[in-house]
Amino acid sequence: MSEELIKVTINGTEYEVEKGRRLIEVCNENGCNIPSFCYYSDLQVQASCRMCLVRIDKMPKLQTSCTINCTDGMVVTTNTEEIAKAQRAMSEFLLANHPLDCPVCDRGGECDLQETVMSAGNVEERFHEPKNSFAEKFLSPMVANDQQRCILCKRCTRVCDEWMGETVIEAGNRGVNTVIGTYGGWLNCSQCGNCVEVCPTGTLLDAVYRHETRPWELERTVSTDVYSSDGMQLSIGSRGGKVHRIVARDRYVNGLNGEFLDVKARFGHEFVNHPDRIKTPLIRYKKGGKAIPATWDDAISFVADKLKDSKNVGVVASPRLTNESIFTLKRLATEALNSDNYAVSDAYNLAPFFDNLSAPLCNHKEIRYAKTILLIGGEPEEEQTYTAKQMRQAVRNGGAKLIIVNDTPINLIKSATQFVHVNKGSYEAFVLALLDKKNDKVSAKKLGVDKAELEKVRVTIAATEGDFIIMFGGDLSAEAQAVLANSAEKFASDKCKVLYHPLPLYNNSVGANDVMQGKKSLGEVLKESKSFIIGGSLQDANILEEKDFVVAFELFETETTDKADVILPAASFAEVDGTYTNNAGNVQRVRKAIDFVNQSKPDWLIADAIAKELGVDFGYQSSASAVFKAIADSVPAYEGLRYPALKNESKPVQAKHTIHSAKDLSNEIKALTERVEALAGETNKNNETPRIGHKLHRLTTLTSRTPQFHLLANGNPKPENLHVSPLKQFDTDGKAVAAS
Amino acid sequence: MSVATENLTGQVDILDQPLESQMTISMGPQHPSTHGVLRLELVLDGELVVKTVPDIGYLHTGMEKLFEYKKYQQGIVITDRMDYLNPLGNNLAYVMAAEKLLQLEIPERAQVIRVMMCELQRIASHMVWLGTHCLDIGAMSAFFYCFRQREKILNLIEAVSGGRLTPSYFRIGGLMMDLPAGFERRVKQFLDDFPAALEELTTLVSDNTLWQSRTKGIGIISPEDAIDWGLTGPCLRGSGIDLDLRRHNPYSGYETYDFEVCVELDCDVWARFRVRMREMFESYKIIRQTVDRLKPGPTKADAPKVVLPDRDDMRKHMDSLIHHFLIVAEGFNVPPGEVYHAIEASKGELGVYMKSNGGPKPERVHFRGPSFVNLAALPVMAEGEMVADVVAIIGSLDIVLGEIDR
Amino acid sequence: MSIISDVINSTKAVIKGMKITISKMPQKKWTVQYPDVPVTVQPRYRGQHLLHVDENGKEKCVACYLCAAACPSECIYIEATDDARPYEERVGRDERYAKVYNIDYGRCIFCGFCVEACPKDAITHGYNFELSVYNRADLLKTKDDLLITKQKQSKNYRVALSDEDVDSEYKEVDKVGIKFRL
Repeated sequence: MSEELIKVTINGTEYEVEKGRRLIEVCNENGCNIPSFCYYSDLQVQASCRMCLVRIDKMPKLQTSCTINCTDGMVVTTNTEEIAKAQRAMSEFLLANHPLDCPVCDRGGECDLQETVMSAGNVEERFHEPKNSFAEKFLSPMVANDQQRCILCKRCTRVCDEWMGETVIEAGNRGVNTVIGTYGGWLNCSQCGNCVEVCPTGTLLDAVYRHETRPWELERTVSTDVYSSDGMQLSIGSRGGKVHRIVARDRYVNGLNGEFLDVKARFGHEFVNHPDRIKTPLIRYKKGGKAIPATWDDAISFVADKLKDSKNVGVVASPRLTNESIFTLKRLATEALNSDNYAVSDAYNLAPFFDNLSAPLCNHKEIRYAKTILLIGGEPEEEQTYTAKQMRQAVRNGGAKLIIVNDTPINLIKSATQFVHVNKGSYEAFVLALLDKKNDKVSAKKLGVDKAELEKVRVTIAATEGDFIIMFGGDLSAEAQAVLANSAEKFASDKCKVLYHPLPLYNNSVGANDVMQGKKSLGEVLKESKSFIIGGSLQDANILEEKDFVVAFELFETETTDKADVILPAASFAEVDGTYTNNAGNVQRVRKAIDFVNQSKPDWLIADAIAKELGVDFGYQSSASAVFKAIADSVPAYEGLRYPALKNESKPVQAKHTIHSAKDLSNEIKALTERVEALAGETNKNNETPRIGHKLHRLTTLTSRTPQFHLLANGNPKPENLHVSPLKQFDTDGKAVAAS
Repeated sequence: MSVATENLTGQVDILDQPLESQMTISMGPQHPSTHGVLRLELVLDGELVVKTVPDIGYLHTGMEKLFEYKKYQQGIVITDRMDYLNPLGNNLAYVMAAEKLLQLEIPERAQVIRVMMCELQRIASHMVWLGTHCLDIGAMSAFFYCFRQREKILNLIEAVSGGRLTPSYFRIGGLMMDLPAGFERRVKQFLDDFPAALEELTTLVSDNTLWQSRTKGIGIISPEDAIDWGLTGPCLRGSGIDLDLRRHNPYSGYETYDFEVCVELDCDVWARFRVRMREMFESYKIIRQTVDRLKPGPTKADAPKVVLPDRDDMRKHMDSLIHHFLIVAEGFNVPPGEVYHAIEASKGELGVYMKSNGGPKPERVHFRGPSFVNLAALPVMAEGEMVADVVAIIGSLDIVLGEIDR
Repeated sequence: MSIISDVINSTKAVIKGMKITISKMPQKKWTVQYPDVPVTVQPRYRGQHLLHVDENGKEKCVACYLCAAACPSECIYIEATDDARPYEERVGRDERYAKVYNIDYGRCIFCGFCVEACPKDAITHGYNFELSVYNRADLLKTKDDLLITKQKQSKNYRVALSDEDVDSEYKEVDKVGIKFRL
């Protein structure tokens, strides 16, 4: 956007605005509110609702302000009777076919149509013809649809196309019969629910939150997504200790993700109030015996008794926990238990990356406006959905070049300018080739690609004018990470800025790496210790079988809790205060939305209680902000941060990760070269594009508590009767339930 | 020494005098003739009242704060509970303040019905005053006849609004609903009987020499003092000041009615008693006129963004349904600003100060309650009187503790 | 004035008063001997709420929460839910209905705003005013207490006809039975 300022007169007042800005935005910013349904700042213009009409001097008719760019000397009027009349007439048309549904509609109370009619509507109604009538139906287990409420703003179709690149939802038929529909009448997509989010009326509705309550009854708490490492900001709607729904932020202020959320963030919240949550502390007095409910005091003193004399206690923290919890678990190990055996239960260790980081992490806005993006491994459209959305928009709207290096033709290659299809497990060879041209020959062989393709990548990178972003998924070895992280100088030039963007799997992988300094690898810890404190669960709990004493903090019964001697009920993300650090290094607040479910407690408070029982006081005084202050005092990247500084979710705060200058990494390069040379080099590429949602819809401990996810995981079968919720027609295995 | 007197430095010297000559007694808060939970700290010298300190707050309910948490239309029900003998007057003051902010024009029929209901309510309120005043002084039977008249009015109010003590009948922009069928006939029937009933009460009370000797020359407050102490309503007119907001700052079309502002010059309990007795007859005259003026017409203002739409429209039209839904769920926005609106309630000037910040809930609502201000003048009237006359003076002030403490 | 004239005047006043009192004695009594005699309430009287059902016995309420939003004393608690079954099997008239509908009569102020707010005519004020209970918790009435099909008519009141003059007909007992305002 140009920096040039021009003068625009709106309702007699002159404003200075940037040249080429949309008139509707300029008007709204300056207090002349213009009603609109179809305009959405992050989408292409549509101009179908005709509500945003304004009078522009020297133009013959009223103009739609959403399609007009500001030009110098423009004189605009927005508040005359002529315009009000036009808007009233438009709203009358919009309502002519709208059913009298407000009392039943889930959107009532936060409906754009209602608000616009209230502000610019006409109480007189002159259409008395019978309305089109359709029954409400389901488009998928997650999305309900009432066609006749549609005002054809086509926000949903544009979102589906531009944000998700899926184009599964489209307008069909003609004239007054136009409706929004899907191909085959059934939504087979990633079920992100963004169409529900942007719908200004009750046409597309959240089927998980269907007919539950009203927006004004809900308490809104801004918090951070617990699933993906993008750290999407969301708003938890809770009422009376129950989480009812999650929407992207409040509907009027943007977090880093605007109104974008993915299927897990939006619909995967049923676990919070699930009846299967562990209700009280449980103690298994005999190995293999039954876990007996106990009071918190008993359980904590039992744990402390057992751990008092053990040496070398292992402490494992899940990368899903808040920074506060991970940090307190680390302090529990080092200060109360005098052990240096602590680790994060994340297979993807980011330590070598951050130890050698030679350029800043890029935030999501920078991805949107990047010029070249190199993606090595990973599958962001399944795991870091917001990053994927920004990449798609960077290519589509920003003309960025996207180079994808992957062993599978992932869905994102549709947006890619170059797809380097490599052999399985050969990403390191690509890193080696990136490092030095002379490695091309051996790399190309091991990668199973032509040398020219590597050359092409290099040319694209060299030609970049703007931001060059290096992203990498979770399959790189420590050496490859270190080398890649340290190679920014090679690509940087006057015109090109290099930025990094790791794609870890968990919401707080980056934070875990930051606050748990000096951690060992998970395997090491599991091998060395006999007693354990585990915050969260392990991927593979079999090793716990032969351990002496295991304490687990968990929400649900898992394999880990089956083998644990003491199980302490932990609180979910909706019940705690804390912070998560996302893959862009943004430290974002998690806020307490509801009271603790059952007898659960935040992990850091449990760790603190154990430490107190062992005679060590961390001085937290039960305050999460005190824990965060302790983090800020001891972790350099978080220096000076406090909760009040993180208050504004629209302006996320980035942790100050140290930027290292180029290091001598000859040892790592040597090791890397050796490993690459040791690769077999056989052609074993995946040639099949995976199904959309194959990772998103996977059942995990948390997502499996939302019954709809079972249907998605089972291939999202189309039910016989679309008017009845699929949940009532299928059991959780996706098999049809016989009608009773 | 009580907390109340501790704070009043001027009184300390009197209260500190030896007990031989002076005695401090508490009257209330359970005393039946303090009309609720008023407590008076009386300093007596024998039977003479030396000092009177009203101690209020036993009924404090935080109503004014409560308004800030309620939408404008929800605030109406709170006003019912302030001066619970004159709820329709309170409704009127509140809705008119909001209407002033919204600059609404109220249709003729709604105005007439408002006047009619308020005057009926004024009679009911005065009937309670008269009954309890008589009871305080010792005349038992008048109480029953007063309450019978009040019962008739309450039945009328119940027929109109569904509530007897808490009607909440007025709405911002009009009325809850139109009058029920046959209501005019019933009002007329009530009016036909009323002068006779009033005459009966005059015979029972006004013409009674016992009554006159209990009230005449007692609780005198000079016109200057009455103005200085901010008395309003019958208390002020009893001191010879001709001030009635219905006449001097007319609202709801009072300027078009033919009625007399009753003024008595005696400045005592008797004068205030006479003013109220005469006022009831003036109210009767106004109601007669309103009944004649009732013409069919709308009872709600033409303000679709404020007033709930017609129920039939709401069932048929999307526009009306949306307006209904949002007005109920979110309330209506009132333009920012502040107003003061005062009406002549049965007890005096009832003023509402309302401040809006542009949202659906008021930023501040304050009531200038006539009972509260009138009670403040009690020490001026009572000092130097006999202790038995304090009861008569309180009765003549016609206070309601619900309004004083709010 | 002498004591004698004082006494005479006072006696006169007392006699005048007694005359009125005695003249009222043979007249009709106004007092209603509730609960032996039912009281008459006006058609618009606001008593305990009624939740209405349609002609097939399906609840009219669609749990739109407008009554709860309109309520100044926040005494209405609703939990909505989805009932996808066909109309014949449903509890409510619509797909959406109130799973829980509680009114806390410890808080309710009988203002009638919920009735005004209801877009489906599902809630109205009934006439029952006998709400005293021995246990405060019993003041919380659930849907089972409020549904028109579950409420019993008390013998202690009758509803006046819409243009009936109640004042003069206090003692007449309505033999017709329940008449609910719709």
